[in-house]
Amino acid sequence: MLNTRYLISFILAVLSLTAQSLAAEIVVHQPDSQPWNNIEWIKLLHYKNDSIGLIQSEKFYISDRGMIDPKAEFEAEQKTFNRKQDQRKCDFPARFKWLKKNHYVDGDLMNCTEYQQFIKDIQPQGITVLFTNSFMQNPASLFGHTLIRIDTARKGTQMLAHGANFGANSGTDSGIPFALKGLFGFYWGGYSLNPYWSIINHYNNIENRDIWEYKLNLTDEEMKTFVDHLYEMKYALVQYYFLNKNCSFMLLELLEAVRPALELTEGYEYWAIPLDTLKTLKEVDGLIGDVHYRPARYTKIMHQIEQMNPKEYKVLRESIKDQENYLENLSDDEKRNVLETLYQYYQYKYVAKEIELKAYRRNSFKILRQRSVLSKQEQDEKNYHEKDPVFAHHSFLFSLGTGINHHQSFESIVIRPAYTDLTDRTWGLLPGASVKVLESRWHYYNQKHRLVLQHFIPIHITSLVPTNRIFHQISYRTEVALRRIYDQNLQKQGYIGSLAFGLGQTFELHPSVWFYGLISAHGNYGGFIPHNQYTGLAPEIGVYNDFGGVRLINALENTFSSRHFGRVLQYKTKFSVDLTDQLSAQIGYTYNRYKYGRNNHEYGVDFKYYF
Amino acid sequence: MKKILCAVVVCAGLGLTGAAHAVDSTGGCGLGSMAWRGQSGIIPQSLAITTNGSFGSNTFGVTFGTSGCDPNGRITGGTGRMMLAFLEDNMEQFAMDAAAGKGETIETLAGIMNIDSATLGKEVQRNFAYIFPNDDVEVADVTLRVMEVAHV
Repeated sequence: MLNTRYLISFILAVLSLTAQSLAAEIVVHQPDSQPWNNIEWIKLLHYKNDSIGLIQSEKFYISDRGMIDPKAEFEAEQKTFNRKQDQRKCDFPARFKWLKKNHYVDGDLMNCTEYQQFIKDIQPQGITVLFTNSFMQNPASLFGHTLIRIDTARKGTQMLAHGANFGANSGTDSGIPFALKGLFGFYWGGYSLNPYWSIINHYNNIENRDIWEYKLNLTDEEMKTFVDHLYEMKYALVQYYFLNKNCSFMLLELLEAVRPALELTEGYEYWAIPLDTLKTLKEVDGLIGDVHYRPARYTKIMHQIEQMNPKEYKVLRESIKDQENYLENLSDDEKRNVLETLYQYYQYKYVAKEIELKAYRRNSFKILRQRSVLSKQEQDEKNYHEKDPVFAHHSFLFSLGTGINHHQSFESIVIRPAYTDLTDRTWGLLPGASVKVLESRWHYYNQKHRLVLQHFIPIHITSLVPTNRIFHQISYRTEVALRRIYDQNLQKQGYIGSLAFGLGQTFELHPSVWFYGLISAHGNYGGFIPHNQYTGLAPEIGVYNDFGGVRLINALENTFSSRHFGRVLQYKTKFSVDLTDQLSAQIGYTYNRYKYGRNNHEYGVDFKYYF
Repeated sequence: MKKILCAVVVCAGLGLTGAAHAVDSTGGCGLGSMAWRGQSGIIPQSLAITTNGSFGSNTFGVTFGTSGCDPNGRITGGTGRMMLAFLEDNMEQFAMDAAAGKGETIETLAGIMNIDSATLGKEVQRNFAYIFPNDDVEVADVTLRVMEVAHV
């Protein structure tokens, strides 16, 4: 009897649960009254606030009005995808699956040959964001680049994965036309797909840029949607803008499409610096999982050289000099080190077009033969002391300070939208590189109650690359600037515009002590000066110390000029200390000794905030 | 030629060194560093025979005669075609890994061939002089010989 009662209550309980879940199902299945306004669908089609599609290719939409009318597009898709024989659904697997999940359409993608082949080739297992950092001699690449990797379930390694790269189709343009068109949206941007091995070759081996791999923690469903959506993006053309409709912006767009709750593109309306977008991903709780580092070829060679004992280093240098491998007095381990480094060296030289194919092949082959008779070396862990660029300082700088210039006290403000300076923290960035874009410095002079613009720098680049006995590297500096100067004769202040370019060399005395010499030529123009055009030549020597959280720069520059007030000997020292991740303090002193007129001292303290 | 550009580089407008991030992207083929890519460009019929039709491409010999690269930039096809495509782009690294008996390219190839990577490493190092007989070796021959020494 008891049992029967239990049984009945059990059955009732099951029935009521079923009813509840059915009710829940019914609620879920209740169609949206306006499904075209559903945020998931809106983001999958990249409609923006004004209901206009970001994607500007007609092929991306089913309806003729798709680009400007989400409702028309939704209805057209529902109608088309429901037709059994219509293959258009095969082009839009993510959309189709969303519509099906929400019971707007029926059917499946089983007969979509091309799509099924795509999935079979890719064998997706996960999504990884790739960040490639800067390469030497090009601090402009400090801004980095982001790509996507679809991790593969194939046996072997992730070399068999695929990378998706968003870029502009620039035809045969290069140089200035290419840059200007890129800035002003003259190109169409789109995705291209390549095996990951060729992406590795491209960035690690040809451009000598490290690759950082950030595995995304997506659910299995999100991962599949990502892949399906990427497949749809082959039809997507976007008007490409260097600054804000670039690889990194599009990456955020894709992520929003697979996880609509994310609001990643906010704040990137005007410019999207790849490293900033990477930080945005990092800020999403738990989104970034494992991080893996792939050193560039140059990084590998320099690392191997640093690990060498003096004997190995000597043999390496002599072997390069004579193109003959002197291995006689080395142990097997030493031979391996020298041969493997030499091999990478010749590859580097060949890619840099500094040796001919014939010599390259001959030298490489000799090395391979010698290496192949030595036994395999047990796995040696290589510690590259790599520094995750996610933790690099933020790119926007706002600085407040105070100081004294020629017995006048002032408060100072610096605004710099991007990117870094030698006085800033180098963690995750290229040491010795300075890239400043649109920096302005303002002084408010307390006695005169005047706010003046001290300088405005549209663009400044310094690249200090230590030269060594294996690779001869050139350091350089270039700048476009507007500066406030004082004409001692006229007793007048005013602005000069200047263009400067300098070349030199850097020597590493110690990893944190670099000594450099540069000679810069500059042309200046100032409307307020009687003879308002002049040129200058300025040799400069300096010591750059980077101790991690503390940096010190000392520089001495003597300017020879075609005009009297341009002739000046300048000594500058700047000392910076990091207070937090986003705040640093800087003490500076500048001494100007003019050929004609009074000398000038300036002291200042600045608090620099990065965000 | 299609170029890919990215990176926010205002100074590119000033024509500074390499500021414009322009890149050759011919779908994974011909990235330029591959000095040992087959010179004649014709894949010997013997490779098709050896792999016993496992190329998975019925247009082999028509469009696939010059390269293992896929026009869609995808890794596709059977063992032979994948090995060839992989070795075409990774010959340098594979040559060093083969000489050393280990490395990422050996692990990858072993995955494609579905064999143990330690065994493959041992075999290619032992047979290094056979796989790479001289310095103008062709990628197709290397592919065939790797298959041979690995008994695939």
